[in-house]
Amino acid sequence: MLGKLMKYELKATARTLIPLYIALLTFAIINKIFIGTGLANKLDGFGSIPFILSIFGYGCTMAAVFIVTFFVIIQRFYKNLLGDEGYLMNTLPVTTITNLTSKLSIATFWNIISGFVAILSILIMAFNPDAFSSFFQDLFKGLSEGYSEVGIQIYLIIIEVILIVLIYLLKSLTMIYASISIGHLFSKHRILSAFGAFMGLSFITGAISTGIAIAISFMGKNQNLFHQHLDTSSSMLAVHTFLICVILYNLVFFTAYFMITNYILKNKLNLE
Amino acid sequence: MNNDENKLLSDSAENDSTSNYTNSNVDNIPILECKNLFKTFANAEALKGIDLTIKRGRIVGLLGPNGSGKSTLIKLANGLLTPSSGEILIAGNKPGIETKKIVSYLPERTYLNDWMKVSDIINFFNDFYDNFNPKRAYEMLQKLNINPDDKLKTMSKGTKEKVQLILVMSRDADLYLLDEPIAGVDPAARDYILNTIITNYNENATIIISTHLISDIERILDDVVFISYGKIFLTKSVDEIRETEGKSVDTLFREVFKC
Repeated sequence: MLGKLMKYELKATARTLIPLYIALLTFAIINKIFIGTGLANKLDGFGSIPFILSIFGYGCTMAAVFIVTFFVIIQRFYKNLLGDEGYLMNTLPVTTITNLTSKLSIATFWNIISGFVAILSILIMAFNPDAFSSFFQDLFKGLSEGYSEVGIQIYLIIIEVILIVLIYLLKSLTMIYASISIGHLFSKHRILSAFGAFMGLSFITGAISTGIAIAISFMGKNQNLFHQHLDTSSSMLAVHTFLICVILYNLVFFTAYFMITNYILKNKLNLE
Repeated sequence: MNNDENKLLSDSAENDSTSNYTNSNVDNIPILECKNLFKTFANAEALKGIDLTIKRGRIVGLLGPNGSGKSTLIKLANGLLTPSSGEILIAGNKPGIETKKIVSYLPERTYLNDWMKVSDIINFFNDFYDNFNPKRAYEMLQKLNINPDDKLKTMSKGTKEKVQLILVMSRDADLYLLDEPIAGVDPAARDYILNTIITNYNENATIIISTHLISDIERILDDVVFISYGKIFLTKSVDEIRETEGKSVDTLFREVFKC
């Protein structure tokens, strides 16, 4: 059932986002043609208007990709689960958790894809065969140098950083879901209440992370962990501990927001 | 139906003598059962202690004025709301995945999104409901002159309601919960839909229709439940009403809920 839900979720969202991606990449290619052929430098006066327009179009589409991704994620949750479509979605023979998981996984997927498409569009415009090959040479050189200095740990750290980004993303998305769900508890001004809930959750999260940061900085001073150089094994351990703590920290909030959302959708659902 | 004597009858596995249907091979668990069911919202009590037992194989009219709690009761049966206290059981189970498999629900709202074609939605239903019969859906669409390749965006409100009702009635469910199924549909289609309802469901299934258009559906009802201010006012079979009161359900409703 999760697979089927994800399939429909993907269909429902792709029809908005894919055209935007295509538009962004098209603008990038047009810009590349202007830059690559040197046309951009030759044109002056009114002649440069097409190039300016296409740069402008690119900038707008880039902004649109992220705004629309954000908007689609909110809209799919609010409209599909808590709006009129909720009458269908909440009476399907699936659990609330399955419904939520399908929404969350597809939202995460589009966030990542939007990021990749944005990077790809920049790469298209900056494409230069020589610079490209030297970039990859440098990258692998850097990795192998890192490997020879700190050993296998460097890959572990990369994996940990990727995990942090992913879990941070999940945390942010579930925080939006939880805010909308809390807003749904009110019988009036639900959208306004959702904004209020978002502020409240942001404040609580901020307060807790500040508290933890202060506590860690005290501990760090005492043990002097963070003032040492990276090349000793004990400081490697400190880096891992720090990264894993960040992962766990975000994981705790992600779990809490997910559970709040699930509880409200399951027990406090009140469709208009 | 509701009252205690009927509960005894259904428990004792004997044929129900007060109504003239025969359902020999059906298990004795009522398809819908409410026990002292309360639902309170922040500002109002919607249901105040509903006790109701509805057996399999009946077409039941859930009748009451606006705001009497009809929709709330149906939403509770679908798990769209949770009871404040008391219990609601579908075939012996609390609302959940198992009950959602056997309940086919027509809400009063249009729940279909605009950008899908009718055929897309039929695929959607076929994907999620094991008891959905796409062939029946296409037949009904054809009968009502609805093109399966049309997008819902282009349809009128009444046509959307027809599509929704076709989807709901194309499932081989045990319990159909129809909330105002014919309100937005023209009288000609209304007749067709009512005929579809009575010809398309199997005899062990129960249909609960909430409406205030009583005269239109009276002819297909077996039983009626009058609900008023969150309480069950009366539960009777239509034959009983005709025999003992000598009135049509519509007349009785107008008398009972006279303003």
